[in-house]
Amino acid sequence: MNVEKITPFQFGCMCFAFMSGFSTLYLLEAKLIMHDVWIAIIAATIATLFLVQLLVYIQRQFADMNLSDIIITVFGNWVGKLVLCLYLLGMTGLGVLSLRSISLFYTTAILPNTSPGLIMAIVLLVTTYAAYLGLSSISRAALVILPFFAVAMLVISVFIFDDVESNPFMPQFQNALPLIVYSSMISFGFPFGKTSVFAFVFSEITNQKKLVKSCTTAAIFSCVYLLMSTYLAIGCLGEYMFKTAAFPFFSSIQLVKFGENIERIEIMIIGIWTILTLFEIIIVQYCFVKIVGRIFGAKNLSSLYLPVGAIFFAVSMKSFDNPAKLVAYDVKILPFSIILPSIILPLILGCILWVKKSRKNQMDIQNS
Amino acid sequence: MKMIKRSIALLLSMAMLAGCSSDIREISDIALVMLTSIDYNEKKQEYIFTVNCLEASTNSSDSSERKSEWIASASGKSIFEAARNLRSRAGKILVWQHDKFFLIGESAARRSFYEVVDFLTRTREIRLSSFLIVGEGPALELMRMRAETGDLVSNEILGRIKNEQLWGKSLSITIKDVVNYYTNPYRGFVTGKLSKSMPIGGTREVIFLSGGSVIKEGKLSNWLTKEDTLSIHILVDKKYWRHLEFAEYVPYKSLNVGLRLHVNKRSMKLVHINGKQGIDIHIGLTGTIASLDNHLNLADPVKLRELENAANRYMERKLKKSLNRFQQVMKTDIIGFSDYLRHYHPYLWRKISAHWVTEVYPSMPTRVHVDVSIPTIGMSEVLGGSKDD
Amino acid sequence: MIEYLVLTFVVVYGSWKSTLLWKKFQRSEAIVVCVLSLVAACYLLPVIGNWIPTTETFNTFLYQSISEFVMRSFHIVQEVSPS
Repeated sequence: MNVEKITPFQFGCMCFAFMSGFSTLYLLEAKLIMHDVWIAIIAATIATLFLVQLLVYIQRQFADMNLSDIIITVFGNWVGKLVLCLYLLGMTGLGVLSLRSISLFYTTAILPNTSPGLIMAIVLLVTTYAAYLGLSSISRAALVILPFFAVAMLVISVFIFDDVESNPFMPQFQNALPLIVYSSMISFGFPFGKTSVFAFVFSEITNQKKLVKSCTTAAIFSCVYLLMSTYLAIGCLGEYMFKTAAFPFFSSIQLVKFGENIERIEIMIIGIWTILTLFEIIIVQYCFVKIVGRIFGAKNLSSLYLPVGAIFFAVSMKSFDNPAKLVAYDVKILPFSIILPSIILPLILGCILWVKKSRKNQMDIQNS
Repeated sequence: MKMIKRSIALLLSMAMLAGCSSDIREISDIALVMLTSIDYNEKKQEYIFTVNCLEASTNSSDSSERKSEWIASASGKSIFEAARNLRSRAGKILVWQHDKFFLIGESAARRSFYEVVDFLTRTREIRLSSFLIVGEGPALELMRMRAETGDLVSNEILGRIKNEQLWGKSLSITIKDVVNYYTNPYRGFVTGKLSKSMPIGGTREVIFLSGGSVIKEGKLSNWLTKEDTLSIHILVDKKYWRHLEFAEYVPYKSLNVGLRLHVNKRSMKLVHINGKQGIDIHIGLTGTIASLDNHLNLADPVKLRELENAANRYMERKLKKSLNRFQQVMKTDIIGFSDYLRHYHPYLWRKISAHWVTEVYPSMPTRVHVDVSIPTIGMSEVLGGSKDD
Repeated sequence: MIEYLVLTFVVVYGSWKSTLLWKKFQRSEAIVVCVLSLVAACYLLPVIGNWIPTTETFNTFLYQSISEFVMRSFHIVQEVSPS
């Protein structure tokens, strides 16, 4: 099946949309270490940049192959398929978290009498169709949405800055190192650790030499967006209100007024969060279908999107049925569960390829 | 392929079922709550929840006087139960998204703020930018009084809160600030005080905002005078009183000079005062001469400088008096010294925080420096021109 | 209600599509559609669905002990709590 390729710029925009998602919804790492959160976020971003370098190195050894094919080539057929199943598990987890988070937000802040199942079903209808349309359509949609996002966020940030009354950067270095390390893990778990998912679309980029630049730019912009939102929310709400609010950035936007009478501009951030979360789920579903097709050797993937959407819906309905479970999972389990698919497996893959390459070079030297 | 596309299109059109959500409300079915009050009945141990509602109308050309106001009360063991019990009286769905004021009765405020604050923060319809005011006496009585101007009570109170920055002797804060200060164990805070009295030349009692209510350790502890409220406006930097303008009648030699003052600088510093850690406060004020009660040639730079110095001393005495009251009488950190120390001197804060409320704050030395500059003297220099001295 | 709707759709779509694909000799695709639909249906069935592990339960089972150990060692237990 011919796959339409996308440019590195389109890929970078898609990456940014994927990584940003609803990263500014809970700000859990900020609630833990408050003013020192920049350390955690920057550490997680640096870890992501190293991960990107590793994944691009892996991709470059097999320029035209998809990561799922690379995994099977390197690990062998059965072990490779087992590894791919682990990735499927990870992607299901990410998709379920995204769906539950967006439905929790809607049912808490906007539509309390609407069933979360209905919200998730509506979201999945859209994402399934978008995933079915293919990567080029998804990336074009990202290109259209992101300018609106950038302008809206700039305007909102300027107005929130006007509401900032306390210095959000003080006091610094008041948290113990283990707590900062743990917050970095939370930050890596969500949102930066999702990097390993879009490694599965590296093969669909036209110019693979610009992969690192696209991914790095997207990661840095996501980091800046997250830092800006966090510190604006802390400065605007105050420390205690920040810890009290379930959705701190949303609460700070609720305080913004244009003039005397224009309020409720939090509608803008609701729209932004929804669209970026849709992008997150679309890309996860798209990669999920590709991996499933690879495991079973299916070539025509168009009929798989609906059942995959149904699986995401079904698993979401049985998971995180109350907000406490969701937050506890994000804080206590996700920092550890993300390590295997995002760090350990790419490291193992990278090491095996590096060793093979070194041996091949040695043999070439000996033969010559 | 066509079949698949048609099926997908059909499925996508089912997304329009979102319009069938039970959260949909018709505008003709809702009543907008403009003002809410919460009282506590000690004898029955019940909360009394009162709302001032306005009927929502699709005709936006109606002036506010012709809109029908409706006031109703209900009681319950909890605030939420009382709010729900209102439904027995309400013919429409009550919507709180336009409610800008929450009035807490004196009895509820003296009992405990916790449930009130928790209810206001947890309910999604209530906006954090709404104001929370404490009423002197039962809030229900204050709610039922007609507005002095004939406008809606909520519009009138909103106007008075906006005017606070032109007066400074009343202070109202938002729910966001209430939550931020309330949950801080090291400080108290001040919010608005709504009272009633007979105005000069009036025929009926009206409600007015004046002074403040001091909340300490989760309960109303004191009322604050107008002068102390003005001192808080001057000392504390908040967004909604950045353009504060207030009047002072400053004694200068045998004269009294009316000044219109603005705050242009506020800063705090940790210093040593008499061998103890203390706070040095610098306030910069810009003034305009509003009136004189006797002859004084303000075109003379020497006299103007002397007047500025007199204003400096006057304001310093006034602010110091208020600070002493906050520290030694009320023993409540209203200004936020604990926040300053926690942000900018965290290591010192760690040593003193355990005893801050009981020992450190009440005895912490403070110094106030005020620098008044008078760049404008008005449209006249002196009545009748300058005289030879 | 929505769960039953989706369950019905998944069963109908899965059986129809896999039959269609099988007839077109796209055997792998037919098997995949069938398997995926079966998995989704199992999760949506009233009694069985509550017993099948989800990613939440699976990851919690795998990583909870590690998480508790790390938080105890780093003395993070007191600070980490849902908001």
